[in-house]
Formats: sequence, C-alpha cells, structure tokens
Amino acid sequence: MIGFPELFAAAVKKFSDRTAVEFEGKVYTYVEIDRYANQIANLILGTEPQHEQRIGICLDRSHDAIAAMIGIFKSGCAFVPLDPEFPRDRLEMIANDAGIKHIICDANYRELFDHGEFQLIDLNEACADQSTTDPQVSIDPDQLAYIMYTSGSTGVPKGVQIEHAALATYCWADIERYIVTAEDRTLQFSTLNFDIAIEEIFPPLLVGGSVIVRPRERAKGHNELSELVEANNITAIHLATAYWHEWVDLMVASQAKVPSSIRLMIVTGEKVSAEHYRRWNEICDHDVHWCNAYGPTEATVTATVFIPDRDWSGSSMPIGIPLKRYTAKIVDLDKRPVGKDETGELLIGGPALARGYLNRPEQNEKAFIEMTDCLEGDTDKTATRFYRTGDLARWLPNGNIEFAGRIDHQIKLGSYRIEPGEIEAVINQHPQVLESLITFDEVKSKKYLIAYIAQGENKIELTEMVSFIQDKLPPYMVPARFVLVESFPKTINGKIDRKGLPSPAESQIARSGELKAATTELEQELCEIWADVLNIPEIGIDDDFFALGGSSLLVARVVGKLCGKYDIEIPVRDFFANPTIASIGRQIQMLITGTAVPVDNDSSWRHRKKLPIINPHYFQVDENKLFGVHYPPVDKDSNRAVLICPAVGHEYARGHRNLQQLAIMLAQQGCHVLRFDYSGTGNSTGNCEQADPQQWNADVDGAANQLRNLSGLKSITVIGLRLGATIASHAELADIENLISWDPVMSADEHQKQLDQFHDVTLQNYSKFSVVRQRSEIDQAYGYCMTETKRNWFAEFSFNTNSTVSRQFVIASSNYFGSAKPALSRETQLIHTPDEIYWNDQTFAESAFSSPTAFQEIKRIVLGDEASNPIGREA
Amino acid sequence: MEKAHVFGKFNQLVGIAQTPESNESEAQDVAVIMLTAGMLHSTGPFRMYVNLARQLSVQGIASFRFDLSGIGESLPVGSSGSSLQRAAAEAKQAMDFLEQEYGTKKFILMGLCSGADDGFHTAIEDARVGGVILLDGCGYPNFRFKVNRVLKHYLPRIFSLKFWAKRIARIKKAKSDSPESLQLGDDIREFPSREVAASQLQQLVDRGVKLNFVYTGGVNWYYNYETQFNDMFADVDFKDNVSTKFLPHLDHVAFLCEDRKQLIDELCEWTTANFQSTNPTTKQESNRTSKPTKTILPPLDFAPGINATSSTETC
Repeated sequence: MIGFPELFAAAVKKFSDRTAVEFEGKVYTYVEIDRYANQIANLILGTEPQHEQRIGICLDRSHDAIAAMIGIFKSGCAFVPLDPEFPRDRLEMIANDAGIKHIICDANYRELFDHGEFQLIDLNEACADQSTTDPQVSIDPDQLAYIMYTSGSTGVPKGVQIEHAALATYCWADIERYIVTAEDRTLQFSTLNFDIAIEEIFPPLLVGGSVIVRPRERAKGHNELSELVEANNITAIHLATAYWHEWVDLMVASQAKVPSSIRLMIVTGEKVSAEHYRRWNEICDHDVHWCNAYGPTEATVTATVFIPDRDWSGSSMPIGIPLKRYTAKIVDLDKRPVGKDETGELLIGGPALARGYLNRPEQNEKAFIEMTDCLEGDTDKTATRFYRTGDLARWLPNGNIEFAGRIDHQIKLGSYRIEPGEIEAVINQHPQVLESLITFDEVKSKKYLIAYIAQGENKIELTEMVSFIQDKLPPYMVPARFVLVESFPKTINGKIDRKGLPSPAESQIARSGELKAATTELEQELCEIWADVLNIPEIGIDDDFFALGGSSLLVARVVGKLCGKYDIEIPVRDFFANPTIASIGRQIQMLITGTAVPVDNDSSWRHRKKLPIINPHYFQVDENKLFGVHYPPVDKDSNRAVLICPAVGHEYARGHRNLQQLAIMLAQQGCHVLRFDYSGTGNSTGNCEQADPQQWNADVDGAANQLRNLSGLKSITVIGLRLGATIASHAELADIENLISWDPVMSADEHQKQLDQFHDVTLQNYSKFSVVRQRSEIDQAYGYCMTETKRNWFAEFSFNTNSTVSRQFVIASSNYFGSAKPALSRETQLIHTPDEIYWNDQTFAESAFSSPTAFQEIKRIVLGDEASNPIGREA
Repeated sequence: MEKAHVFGKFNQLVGIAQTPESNESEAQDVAVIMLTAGMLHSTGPFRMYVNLARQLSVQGIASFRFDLSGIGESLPVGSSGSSLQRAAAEAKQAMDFLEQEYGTKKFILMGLCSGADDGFHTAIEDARVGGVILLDGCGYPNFRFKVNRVLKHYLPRIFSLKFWAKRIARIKKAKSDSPESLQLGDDIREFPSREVAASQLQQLVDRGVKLNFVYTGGVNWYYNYETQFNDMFADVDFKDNVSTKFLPHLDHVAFLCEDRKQLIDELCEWTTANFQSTNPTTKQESNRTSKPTKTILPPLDFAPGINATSSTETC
C-alpha cells in the first residue's frame, strides 16, 4: 500500500481537467487542486517540519481545506482538524496534545489561538509566492496521515492516529463497496473534524469524481439539503443518521420526493430507524444505492456496510458485512468468539486500523488487542490486531452483523440486562416519533427506565405510547417515565448530546385510564413493592401479578418484603390465591387487624371476567383418554388456535404454572388454546413406562384434531416446552402455522443422564430423607419409573431439526444453551430471551421462573406480528 | 371413569371425579376428596393422587381431586380469609358440588402437608366429613422427640464429613448471585396449638369421624418416633377411631416409586377397611375380594407427572 499523495498523483494524471472540487460556484480541476496543494506543501516544508509533524487546520469547509489536507500529506506531515466551533480550551488542549506548532487558519478564526504559541498560516497570504511543483517528498505507508480527535469517555478528547496505509486501504474499500466512479458528484457536507468528511473527500478524488462543498451561505428554503442536492446535481451523499432521519421526515412532511440525481445514499453514525428506511422508499421513485454504514474512527471511517433490498422490512437494520480487507469478530467477555446466535463485543481488524491514540498508552492497551484465532467468514484471516469497539453485536444467519447497543449503555434492571436500542427501535416505529433515547434514573437505589422522545410538532399521548410499547415488549422493558421534546440536542458529529437533554426530574408518568389506582395507604405500599420486584412502573390494584411476568421466584421476594414490612407471616399459597393488589391487600389487612375483610364480589367478578372460561375435559386418542384444558378466546376472537404441549417428568411441575399463564394470556389475545397431558402423564390415562415416541406423536396429532374440533379452525400453532417440544418436533402434522419449541430437549439421552444424576443427589439429601437411601431394584430416575425399553428410546431420541413445518422458531432462555449449541435448520428462527429458568439446576422448584420475554415473543409469532420484534431475533 | 369438572362460586375451581369402573350409576355415597398439597398441582407429587384415585376406583371407592384457587388448574379468584379458611370454604364448595352432581353424602378428606391441615380444619366445620387422612399432619415436639432429635439426627451429622461438605457447599451457593428458588418447604404451616388440636381431635372422634395420621421421615423436625402421636395426644380418647402410622424411611413427598406404592397401599387399605361397605353398589365387588389390598391392581405408572423436585421437608 502506498501513501495518498502517490495515489492522488495518479488520479491527477488521469483526470487532469475534470472537476475535482466545486465550491460556491467555482470549479477546481484536478490539476488546479494539485497545484494548490503543492504550494501548501512547499509552504510547510519551508518551516522545516519534523518527521510526522502535526499541522493544525482550522478552516471552514472549502476548496482551501481540501487542498490543505492534500498539501500536508505531500509535505510528509499529518493534519489535525481543529473545529472553530470548539471552545478555546478544548482547541488548545488538542493542539497541545498533538504537538501542533503551525495552524492553517482562516483570518476570522485567528483570535481563537491568540494566547497560544502557534504559528498561524493564512493561505491567501502565504501561498501566492510558493512553487506549484510537487515537492516529491517520499511518503512511507506507515507514515502518519492525520489525527482525528474524538470524544473520550472521561471527557478528554483522544487523538486517533491514522496512517497512510490505513487511509489508502479505506479509500479502495469505500470505492469498491459504494461503486464510486468518475461520474459521481459527492456532497461535502460534514464538518472536517468528523470522519465522514474523510469519506466524502478522499475516495472520490482517487477515481476522478467531484467533491461538491456545501456553501457557507445557507439556502433560504425550508429543505436546504434537497435544494442543495438539486441545485448541484449531487449524486452521492454521506449523512449522519440523525440528519438523515430529519431529512426524511422533512421530505415526508412537505410531500417532497427524494431528489432524482441521488445515486448513492450513505447513512452512518447511529442506529438507523427501520421505519425511516421504509418512509424513504415511499418517497423515492428511482433506484438508489442505499447503504447503512458502521465504523469507528479507530478503523479510519467505515468498517461494515449493510445494503438492504428495496423491499427490506425488518425491524432492526443490520450493520452489514465488513468492507474489503476489514475483519470483524464478535467475542464474549473472555475474548472467545461467540456463535452466530449470541451477543458479544464487536472487534474490528485489518490494515485500516488506526495506529492508536496519541499519548494514551494505557488506553491503547485496552482498546487495541492481539488475537490469533480466525472464524469462518473472516474476510482477512491474517488479521491479528483488533480494535475493541465497545459495541454489542451479533452475527445474523445471513452473515450480516446486527448492532445491539453500546456496552456502557446497557442497563441492568433487576436480573435483566436491557439494551436500550431494543426499546428505542420499538418506540421509533411509532408514527409520531422522530427519534428516541432510553436511559435510566436511579432514586434511592432503584432504577427506572426513562424514554426521551423527540416528537417534532406532534403531540404524543403517553398512555397510547405505553400501550404501543406494551404490545411489543415485555413489561420490564416498558419505560417508567417519559420526557417529550421537540427535537434532541446534537453533538457536532450529529449524535444525540446526552448532556444537553432535560433532567429526568422533568419526566412524566403515563397514566392509563384502565389502571385502577390504589385507594388506601396499604394498597399504595403494595403497589410500590410490586413495582420494585417486577420492575414495572405502575401497577393497578386489579392487575394480576403473574400476568405482569411474576414468577414463584418473585413471589418469594414479595412475600419476604411483606413479612418484613408488616411483621406478619403470609403463606406463599395465599399469594397464589390472591394475585392482585386488591385481594392480597384484603388478606394482609386481615392478618394485621385480625378481622376478616369481606370479599368484594364485584371486584372478584371483574377479575374473573378478564380470565377465560376454562373447559377441562378428556378426549380419546387411541386407547388412552387424554386430559386437556380448553381456553376459548376472551372477548375478541383472533381466529387463531394454539396447542400447548407440556414438559414431562419433574419439568411438568416446573413448567405448569407458566404454561397455564401462557394459555390465559393467549386466550386474552383472542386465541383458542388447548393445553393437554401426554399419555401416562398428568391427568391422562395410559402407562408412562410403556409410552414411546410413536404414542406421544399420536397424542400431539390427536390433541391437534381436538383443538380443531373445539375451535373450528384448521390451521394451528404448536408450542412445546422441553421434552414436549422435542416430541412435537417429530409429529407429522398438516396445517401447522407455526411450530414453537421452547427450550427443547436437544438430546433425550443427555437429559436422561442429568435426571439420573439428580436422582442420585436427591437420595443422598440429608434434609429430604432421615436415612440415606440407595438405588433400589426398581429402575427410576428423579421421581419416575424407567424401563429398559424407555431408556433405549431415550438414548436415540433427539430434537428433530428437519421438521417440515414452514415456520419454525426455537425460543432459548438465557441459560439454556450452555456451551453446546444446537445445529438448527436454516428455516428455524432462533430467539434468545433474557428469561432465567435454570433447567439444569435441581435446586429450583415448582415454576421457579418467569418468562415475560418468551410470552411476548410467542404472542408476536402467534398473532403474526413477529416482524416488529427486535429482541434477540435472528432472521 | 374420570370426569373433569368446573365448579365454585366464580366458576374458577377445577376438579376430576373418579368413579369406580364397576359402578353402573354415578351415584356415590362416599368419596375421597384429595386436597392440594402446598402449591402442588392436584395430580399430587409424582402423580401420587392420580394413582391413588385409580387404585381406590378399582376397589370401589370414588374420589375427587381438585385444585384450590390459584393452584394447578384453578384460577385465583374470589379468595379471602386465612389459608385454612379459604381451603375449608373451597372444600365445602367441592362437597356441595359432589352432593349435587353425584349424590355423595359422606366425605373422606385426604391431604398431604398443608392439605392435611386443611382437611383437619374442614372436618371440624362440616359434619359431612366422615373421615380424614392426614399425611404429615400437625405435630408437636415432646421430650422424647427432643432426645431422639439430638441422638439420632444431630450427633451422627456432627461427625459426618459428607454432611459438613454439603453444608459448606450450600452456604457457598446461597452466597452466589443466582436467584433463590421458591422452595416449597419454606411455606408456612398453620398448626393449631397442641391444646386446640387435642380438643378438635376429641371433637372429631366423638362425632365418629375416622382419622388416619401417617407420618414420614420427611417431617423428622417435628415427628420422629413410632408412638409419638399417642404421647402428643395422651389426653384424647381415640375410641378406635384413630389410626397412626410412622414411615421413617420415606421422605415427605414419597420420591421413590416403592415408597409411593407402599403409601398408596396403606391408604387404600385403611379407606376400604373403614368405608368400602358404605357404597351399596360396590358391596358386591367388595365381597368378591376378601382382602382388598391383595386385589390385582393395574400397574402403577410412577411416571412423568408431578414432582416436587427439590422440595425437602414439606410440600
């Protein structure tokens, strides 16, 4: 790889009379820019600079600035952009950190550097008598080209050092991916101290393209950018995401179309709203090479690019695949590469990586690391040096990378790790939202999610917004408070200026009309305890604890708090019988006062009417009578039917309450639900010792027919939990709309071994048995009888990854996979949830888990709204 | 024959009636009502209640297993009062339902753990209850219990390395940040005072209620020797209406297949011995079987079903 001056010299030779730069109506050819750059280079060389001497540039966007950059390259020095919008102290800090002695400066910015010992160069005065001949300074590939200062997490800017080889690597990769040609007229829109300026200026100048510099005088119309593009026949634009969102909204609002000259649209800097991409396509009548670019300054500019199809309709825009000669890895906390379905930190490698931060050895050690192992799909298997982006990401099955937020923006609420980007993606789908930002506030050690929403001139109704979010996210991800603003303050890079946002104290709570508020002090205190345990901002006194995502685990926490607070003893089963604030409040009142509080029949009926009718019954399948509970739709009918296949063995007990809650929730969404017990399990007849996969497959078939008879619907969704899912995966069923396997037992053989281990541990349990018991002659495993036949088929039985059902989903709880990851069919969508279940831990007892995220996912799949979901989804 | 029913004031309770196969009509004079144990589903630990119901059915005894509100299949609606009061109210609703639906006049309440407490409390309040089976029902440590506890429980453990290793492991685990599971044994039992229990016991005995108290080694923290029941209630005249059994090798939820079989056999034998002749339609069947416990029974499928998993001392 060679330095930029040599590459540019070749372009000048080839495209000498073509337009290189246009600025405020003046045209500068390649030869003219080259000569101007030579004058600047000679001027700098006259100052006898040291090797890699840093030269400051404090210029507005202009042909001067572009020539200055190239001139500094030609002199063998490195440029450092100094933004005149920066405060003096910050400019001085940067100049001192970079060891700058000379600053190329516009006359009107001289006073910014008055108090420093800098030599200020005015190009208009100093260049006139300089030679236009190329000084022919030899530039090594590893020589410093420029230093770009970025914001540091400590508030002190860090200088990212980019070498010529990195710049050249980037330029060619950019040209290839964006298909930049001599016909392109690229808008130079960004300020010079933002790395977008690098990609706006340098790649086009290597292929004969033209750089059209945004004029200093602002256009008079309300849509400045469109006017600028149309007036200058711009073909290529690079925009920070926030600006692009605003531009799209402006065009939509004014019923304008995307200017017809645009061929290339690159959006970069922040997560792109999928909704805005759809809006863009609605107003774009011609083909545009639209790219979502991602990259830290430490990888020169862009590292990965996603180019969606025109009809792309996902909910979360990926960041694509690495550019040529770039490498990406996603690793876990131990720096081990994660699989294609896991989230980890994104690392970028390749020759376009920065040399490092100037004068920051400790930060360099943390940020730039050596790795030797390569992954399938690595574009450059020789890369060993990587930059830790601090961004969370995951590989999608199609090879693209999906951005999942900043590591340092992750919010831990209770046991949940929340990635704000997932909530923001949902809020941004709301038609009245321009953009959003999720953060949190902490009061008395309790964290609340806060949603900042830019609404423009719209008037967002918060209760409607909460309802919108609740339809798409589990309860713990619904923000507790909201701050509505017209627009977000932005940093110079176009990113949201978090420090400029209003204080959380200005936030509002969304109050739902349906929410029945506490009427007594006791109820209010109970609401607060529930809100704390469930991480849900507002609780009504008629809300059902379990419907809000409560589990037995959380019941124990609530009961512990209640007993401590009121000095009473509440049997846990009382809580199960009284899952609303209104009813448990009566119970506690009775315990405190010793006087029974009469049941409020109206309140009880109100609660009952929210729940479905229950129709427990037996139905015949072969020789057995299977027990099932049919839950018809509550109120509305969505014309959907769902069959729930439970877990078996001890996991039947662990999963029972959750599956019952799932059935109730789906019935409340208008579904017919049938939950049944396999032959020889639960309440069904039959001998489990003699059960085999064929019998249980027939059970699934029989139950599916029973559901069809009960609902009158032909097409059904089948949901299986654990071994119930494994069995269902083998069932040869027609008219299955979705097959959802929730934490399926991948290998019954391994499952059996674990049960045997649990069994032996239980026999040795001193607190369970008074005397230590040994294995008896009866073959049994963890509470149920085994036979040789049964063990034999368990040894061979595994999850069927070749099911013929067209829409297959595997839902995986947070600790489900462990180290072993299953090979699933390409058609299967793998959905990760943060729900904690601990199947492999025998200390967890009856229904000791909650699964609000899994419920949400299932609801979305069943109701056919899965495209809107951003949580852990691999498309 | 098994039939599922919905009943209760708010149509919120679910139960399964099991009538004897030999009985042509559904009319049943007597039925065993199985009360849920702690928070376990009405199939019972390891499906024990299902197997018990089916074995009773073969011997001509009807049964009804149902879930209290908020447990198993039943919905959590309209509950009020203490656990005991609520359970008693719902057990009465079950009796009302069976009386109306099947013409049942007399009931045997069977319960494990808190179900035993519920059964005892309900029997006091409702004269239709003719029998109570209490698995690990109430208990009161006395002097002999305490001596046994020290000599047979604490001393052997103090010198057991394995015991200490497990203790340390448990303490370490407790310090980890993994969430604590709801252990069924952590729930609260509602024993009346010994004096109240003795008085209530006498009241039931005087009323002619048959009571069968079965204790397992799983509750060795309050019951640990064969004749403890007699010592606990030395002031009560049992009048041959009270049976007791101590099964020290069993755990609280009969984890092992052979233990469940033993327990079910015990309960069936006691029930048939005390109540089988009550059902006129099953007398014929009964007469053919001189010793009910030796009747050829269907295989017990101690198979996948309910399991209290790690529950330790109570369910």
